[in-house]
Amino acid sequence: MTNANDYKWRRDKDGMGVWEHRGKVAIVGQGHSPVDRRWDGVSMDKTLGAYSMLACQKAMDEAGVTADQIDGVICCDSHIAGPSGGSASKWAPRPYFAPPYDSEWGLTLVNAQWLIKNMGLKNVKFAPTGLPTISEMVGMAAQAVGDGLCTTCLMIYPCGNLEGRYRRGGENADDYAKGARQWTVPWGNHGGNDFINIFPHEQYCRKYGGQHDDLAPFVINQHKNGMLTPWGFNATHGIDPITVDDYVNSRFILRPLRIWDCDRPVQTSTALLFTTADRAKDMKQKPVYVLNHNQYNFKKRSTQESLDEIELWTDTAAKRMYEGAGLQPKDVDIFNPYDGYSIMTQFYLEAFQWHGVKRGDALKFYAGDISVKGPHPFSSSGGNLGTGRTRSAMYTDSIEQLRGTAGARQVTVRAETALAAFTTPSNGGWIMLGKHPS
Amino acid sequence: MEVGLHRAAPILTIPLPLKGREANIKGDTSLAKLISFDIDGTLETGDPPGRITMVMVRQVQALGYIIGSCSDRTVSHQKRMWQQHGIEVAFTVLKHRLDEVKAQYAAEHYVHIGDTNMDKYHAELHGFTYYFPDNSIDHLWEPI
Ligand SMILES: [Mg+2]
Repeated sequence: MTNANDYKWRRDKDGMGVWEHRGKVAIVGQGHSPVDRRWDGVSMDKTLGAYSMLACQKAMDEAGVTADQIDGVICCDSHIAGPSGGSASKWAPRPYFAPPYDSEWGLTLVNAQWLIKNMGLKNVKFAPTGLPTISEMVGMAAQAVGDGLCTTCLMIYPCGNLEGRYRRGGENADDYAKGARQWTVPWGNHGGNDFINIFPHEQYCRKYGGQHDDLAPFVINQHKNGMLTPWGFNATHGIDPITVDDYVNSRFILRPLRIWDCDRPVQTSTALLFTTADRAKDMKQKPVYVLNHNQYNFKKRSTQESLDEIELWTDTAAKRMYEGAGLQPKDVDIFNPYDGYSIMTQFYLEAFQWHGVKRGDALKFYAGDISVKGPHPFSSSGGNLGTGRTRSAMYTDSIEQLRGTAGARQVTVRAETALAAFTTPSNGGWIMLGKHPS
Repeated sequence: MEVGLHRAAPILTIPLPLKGREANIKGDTSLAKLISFDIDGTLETGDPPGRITMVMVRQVQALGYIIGSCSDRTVSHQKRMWQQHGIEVAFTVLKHRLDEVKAQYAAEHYVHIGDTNMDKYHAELHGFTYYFPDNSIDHLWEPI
């Protein structure tokens, strides 16, 4: 099996021009497993492996593709907490079960090899290991199909959660900050909201005006959109949409970040099915074409990012994306940026200048009509805040909007192009999708 | 849009068991004791379900405790949960608002039961005795 590092698939440099496979790769299927709060440790039909197989089957069924047609499998093979979670994101050691659940594979981890074996995928010729998150995997799958490494490729993003405190184990639970951690996280926990959001967000409010709680309309809208997303955690668990009162009275997690600014870890898996535009013509589902993908891993000067850096990085990401897709901000109909913490989303909105929003305009934009039926249907997916920490709603909503199958979430404005991402400002990637190949 | 306001969550005032009600009015040495319940991981209705059943809640209320919930669940969710189980509680507040419960109710002893370090933090911050929902709380169900 290929190690992902051996294949140069990333589009992570400036000036790469229009993507050479623009419109020649399509997404023809998607599948979400149920979204649970956590695995209960006993239901073998609800393991991360079982959910990943279910998601794959749904994606294949949507496209009318059978197991023997799958020749590529790209599956994130680390915990959702990711390598950065270190020992804090591991739930092992603990009891195992009869095969195929006799190790962490299938329980808290899933990889291509486990899926190939347990789904009987006999014709897979491309199944790399050491994979990144969905943020970059969508780009890798698109590039692999475009480059001809495979023709019909499942991309799977498993998101596991077991009982216990997410990312709070291991070295994060230690009373001592050892080694480099004494300089970076002497207080023990390294979540993410502390380093990548809080400081630049407060800089943002000081520079452009406004206050933290001006995010309330955005967060509330995410919850509303989440309730319109039938497969999501909120919709399937009857989570009440919150009110302004709920938001402004809620507990601070890390001042000014409130509990409703944070997403909810869940147990779920998502699969997308990529193929060539030519093959897509004969499949069951209306194809959604990939117009570009880009990645980035910007070097940080220190543990703390600043507003200037974030604005530079997100501007760079937008420039690369628009150049590679051959589009401009005015061409983008659906915009699904990442919202894992609500306070990072404004950076993306302003960088990509969706619906003319410029630097410093986001909070005012949030105060307007951003509902899915309005003129500015911002983040129609509901994102993580509305569906749980799936990190995939942004992609599948974009696909459904372009197909015209988003149901109660279907926007009333034009829906021919879509931008989607799970990313942080410094690290990750974006994908541009189109209803038409050109 | 109203932003930046920090209004107190409304507190449900209901008839209390005799001892609690008298204590609340008199504020003398016959003060009642008060128990605040976290929901998720603490009550059986939580996600994950906790050790404390609704039967146990009724029992401790019958013993004369002033009871209510203190959770990150919205106040509207908390109220609906109690209504669905037919239990009238004295308060439903957000996790960081135990100080309001203390201001509202005079009691001899304030207890908060919850399953995370945030429960412990907020309980101790506001002068509540903190208990994890395990057998360390069994003594609370003995007659007072
Ligand atoms: Mg709890």
